[in-house]
Amino acid sequence: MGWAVDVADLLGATFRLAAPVVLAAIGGLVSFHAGIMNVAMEGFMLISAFTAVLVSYYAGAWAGVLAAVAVCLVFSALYALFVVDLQSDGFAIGFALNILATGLTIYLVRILGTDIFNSPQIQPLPHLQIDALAASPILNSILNGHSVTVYITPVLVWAMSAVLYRTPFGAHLRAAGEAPAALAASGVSPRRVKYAASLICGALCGVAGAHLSLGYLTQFIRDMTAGRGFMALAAILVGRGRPAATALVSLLFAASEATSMKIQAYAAPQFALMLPYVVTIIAVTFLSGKPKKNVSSDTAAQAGE
Amino acid sequence: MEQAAVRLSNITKRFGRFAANDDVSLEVRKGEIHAIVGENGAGKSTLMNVVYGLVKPDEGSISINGVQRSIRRPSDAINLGIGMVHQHMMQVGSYSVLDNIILGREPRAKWGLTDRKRARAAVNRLSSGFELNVDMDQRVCDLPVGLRQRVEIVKLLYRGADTIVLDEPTAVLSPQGTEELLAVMRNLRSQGKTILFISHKLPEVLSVADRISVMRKGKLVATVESKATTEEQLVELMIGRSPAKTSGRARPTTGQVVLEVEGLYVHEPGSASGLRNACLQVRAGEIVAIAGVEGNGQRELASALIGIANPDRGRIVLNGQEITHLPVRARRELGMAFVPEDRVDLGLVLNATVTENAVLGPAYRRSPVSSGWMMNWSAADSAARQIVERYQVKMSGPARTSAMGSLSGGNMQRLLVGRELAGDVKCLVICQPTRGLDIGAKAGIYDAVFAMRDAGCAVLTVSTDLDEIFEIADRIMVMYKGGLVADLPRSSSSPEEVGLYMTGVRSDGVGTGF
Amino acid sequence: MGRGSEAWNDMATFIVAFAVALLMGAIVIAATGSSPVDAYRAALRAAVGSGYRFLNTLCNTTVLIMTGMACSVAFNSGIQNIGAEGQLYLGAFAAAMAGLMKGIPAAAHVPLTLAAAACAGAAWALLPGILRVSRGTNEVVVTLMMNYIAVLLCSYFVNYPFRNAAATWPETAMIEASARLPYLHPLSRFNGSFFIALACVVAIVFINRRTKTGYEWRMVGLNERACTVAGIVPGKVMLGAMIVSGAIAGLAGGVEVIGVRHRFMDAFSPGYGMTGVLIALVAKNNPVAVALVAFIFSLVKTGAGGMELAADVPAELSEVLLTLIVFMLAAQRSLRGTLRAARTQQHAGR
Repeated sequence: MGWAVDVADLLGATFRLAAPVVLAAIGGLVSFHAGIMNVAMEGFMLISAFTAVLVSYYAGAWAGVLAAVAVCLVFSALYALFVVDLQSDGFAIGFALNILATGLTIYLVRILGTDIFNSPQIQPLPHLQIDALAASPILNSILNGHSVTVYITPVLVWAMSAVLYRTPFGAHLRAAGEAPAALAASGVSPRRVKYAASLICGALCGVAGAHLSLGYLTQFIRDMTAGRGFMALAAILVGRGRPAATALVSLLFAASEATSMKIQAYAAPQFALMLPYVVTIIAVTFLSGKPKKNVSSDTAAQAGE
Repeated sequence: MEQAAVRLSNITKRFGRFAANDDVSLEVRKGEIHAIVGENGAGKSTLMNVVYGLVKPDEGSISINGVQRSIRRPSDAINLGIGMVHQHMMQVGSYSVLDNIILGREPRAKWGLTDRKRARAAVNRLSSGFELNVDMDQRVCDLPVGLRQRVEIVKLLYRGADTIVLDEPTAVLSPQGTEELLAVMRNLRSQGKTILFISHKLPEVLSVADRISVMRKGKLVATVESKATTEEQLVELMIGRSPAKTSGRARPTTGQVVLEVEGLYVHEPGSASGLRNACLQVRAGEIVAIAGVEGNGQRELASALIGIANPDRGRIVLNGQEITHLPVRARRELGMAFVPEDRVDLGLVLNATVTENAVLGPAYRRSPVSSGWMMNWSAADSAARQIVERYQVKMSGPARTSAMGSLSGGNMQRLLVGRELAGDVKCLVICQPTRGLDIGAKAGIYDAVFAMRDAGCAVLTVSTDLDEIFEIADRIMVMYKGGLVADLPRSSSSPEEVGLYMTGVRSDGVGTGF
Repeated sequence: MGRGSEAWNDMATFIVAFAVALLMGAIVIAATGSSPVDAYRAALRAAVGSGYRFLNTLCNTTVLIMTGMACSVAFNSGIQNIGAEGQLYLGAFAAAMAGLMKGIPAAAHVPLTLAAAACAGAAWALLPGILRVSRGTNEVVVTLMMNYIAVLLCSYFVNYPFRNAAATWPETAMIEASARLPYLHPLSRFNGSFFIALACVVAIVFINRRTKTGYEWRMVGLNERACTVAGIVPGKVMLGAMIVSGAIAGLAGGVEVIGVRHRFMDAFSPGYGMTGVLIALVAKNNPVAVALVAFIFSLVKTGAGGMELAADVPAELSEVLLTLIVFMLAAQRSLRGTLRAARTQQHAGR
């Protein structure tokens, strides 16, 4: 059953490719519920990918991940400062951050020397080999041998779902997005909640970016993110802010990416490469919507604080 | 001497050069119901926001139970036992009653999860203790306004509030709903709570308050025992002079039917009620008011009339022409004008200039303001100036360069009404005409509406303010749960009677069809 | 608070932000071991050091003015078109195709290529526009995805069916002489397209200030719902703005082809479309400001190229500096906005 092997390969590749998008999407989800539509995830992931490789070169993979997360936290704090406190246009700031990330990473690569970013000395993230799975060749190629980030991703999705809908923080988070005035009147600072949301988004994008550059390939190349940050955004819109649905849609995008790699041999490569983007457009067109929120009949101006 | 529950000393709060609160000193005794009255813009809400920590005063101090405190944010106020029910209810619509009540004070179980069971039990105890029962699992956005208020009260009792501030709670209630709320207030007082109650409706204030403080133009003018004063005295304190006699509004003869609605059904997603089988007629030269508690289908009716909501069934006819599914622009060309309830979101563009706002509507497509593809801005300016002069809109600069957002609420409404009334208007739909406006602005709007009526226009007004309805309407229809349940001539009706229809006690089934 | 004085204010703050960004850049350059003075001197010389260099800067400004205009027209109407990059590519390719047609008289050929470029760009903007207007689909995601698709599509065309076998880089054949805008100076690629860009600015200023369409664009961009109630159909207005926006972006690609390179080259754009978005945001959608900001951006980018050659400082520093300007302006604007809101609040009764 040759095709079964191919499908298994494809599924395995899907999980591998999905991790960064799912992680970023879950992070973006938190921010989305708090009322901040984060378009800078692309930039966060790029900076984190860069940092992860750089630090891993000198100090190993885990240091790389930690550094990547730390840098992303700094940038997402900056983003929050502008969007929450200074009430700047989130789109403008996010977009500028994306361009800053592109320019800054390339600049630093050239200053520090391209060898570092392509060197065998870069330590990749460890992969897990589960012996039980090795028995079945099909299950093996789907589920075994992935980088650790792939395995923690579903755990994080489940955890995020619990946090959002069953903890006080989750209730505050969603209230900060839907009715910040109500939250303030209840004694919780929407500002703090929005900052926290931004930082969580940054941290998750940090892990996502680290996976991108340390998970399988160990290198950093320009434009490594290739629109994944926006696919994460699309996943959030289509998933209507629910973690499980968002993760599923991200998987769909990753599947299209995996498929595009497979079919590149059969026609001009450009068309294969287009596939993920086309799928994203189709998904967003036919499946997206806003989560069921109250169409408030109050005319009160909802002050953000 | 017993310590005052709340003492405000020399509170001053300025917004720019305008002093919303000017050296206000007030003492609220423990266990009393203390009312604060004044017309719109007098500074009552600002003062309460200071007490609750939503606004920081520029000068002055607050002491709670005799101890001076700094209240910089709502959580400080909450910790001091102060709870507030806001005029525009601060609730998360999509959350259940329970989730709204415990927001910010969620009891925790293992792993940091919210302990809903404990919360439910605690809230149950509270609500039965104070006779304020609500279904805890219903979504707040699906509840009628009266119940939403109840949820707010339970919420602050859950936080252990001893002092309860109510900001214009009766503005959105029917007379019967108001009575229920006043009973709740008396009950709370009997259980030892202190109540601060803002209102501009004097009869209810006199009925329930122990003492009444009057504010005028940011200053506290007087504090009186409610037993020792009268409505006339309070009005005089509120506006600083004897009120002008309202001139008799002679009603001219009415003409033929201009606006007709038959069997209209409108359903808006996300809204609790909808419009069911609405039937009404408005004739030239009459003002028909639609009374009703907010959320009973008035929005859907207004939206369907202007053309921003699509009816599922039924017809709307304007001067014999069916307009049910006609786009907004076509309706306006046929002589329909619309002053929406959300004047800032739906009526005006705050970041545009006054001139740009003044021609936003059929005007900008007609000569002289435009011809062909080109705009004639000097013609637009003169159109704006005409409105400004005629309706006495006050601005700080010329119309061409003043931003709409720099005008006060009353002037914004004047400009909006003036713009809508310009041109050949056959039917005017005007919602909440004077919400939030002071007496001067109110009078100006009423004058304009009367002028339209006298000129033969058909006017339909939607309002939750019974005083306003009885001031201007010729006929009163009542909306309840999406249906029109009454059609009463104003001269032979009373607010109490209208209230019975508003709460569904009585229903004529008029306009609901069969 | 007149609109005129606000414009001067904005310009002043832009200059301050620019100066601070230059200062920060100097610090970074010094930190990496190079001399900021040398670097900036090299940059200045490269950008405006002589007649032909200045013309080169102006030449680079052309595309930026046009992508900036494209984005600002869309943003002004409330539709966030970040697909200028893709629309640019398709416009360029369409212009190249039109330019390769033989036997067309010179007087007609240039307008033909420009028309082809504008139509291609507008067509590429049509889909995201229609999706947004009819279904509310998020146009940021759709236009961005279409950027990638456009670049890949053109890459396919220029690598396979239309490839010029004689060239080392994937590109089309040179376009006919009749379709070219000639270089106006022997040492520079400066050509008539600069004036096309200026004409574009004038046209948009005219539309914005004196026509009904400009009024509708502005009002819909400021408050869509109020416009609906007033009888304007925001969807139609936004779609119109989107089409014009795409057309201008397509035109930007077209003038690159007929004016500078005289052929379509794979991956020819170093992010002109994205820079256009930044320019529009910095210029707050004001057409004249777009032109000025585009010039400054071009100065910085051209200078950065020279800085790299002469002083060995990577040119990408310019990207960093330009985005820093955006941040500083955002901070300053929000501070000013807060002050104004506080003053307005005094009368904020509802």
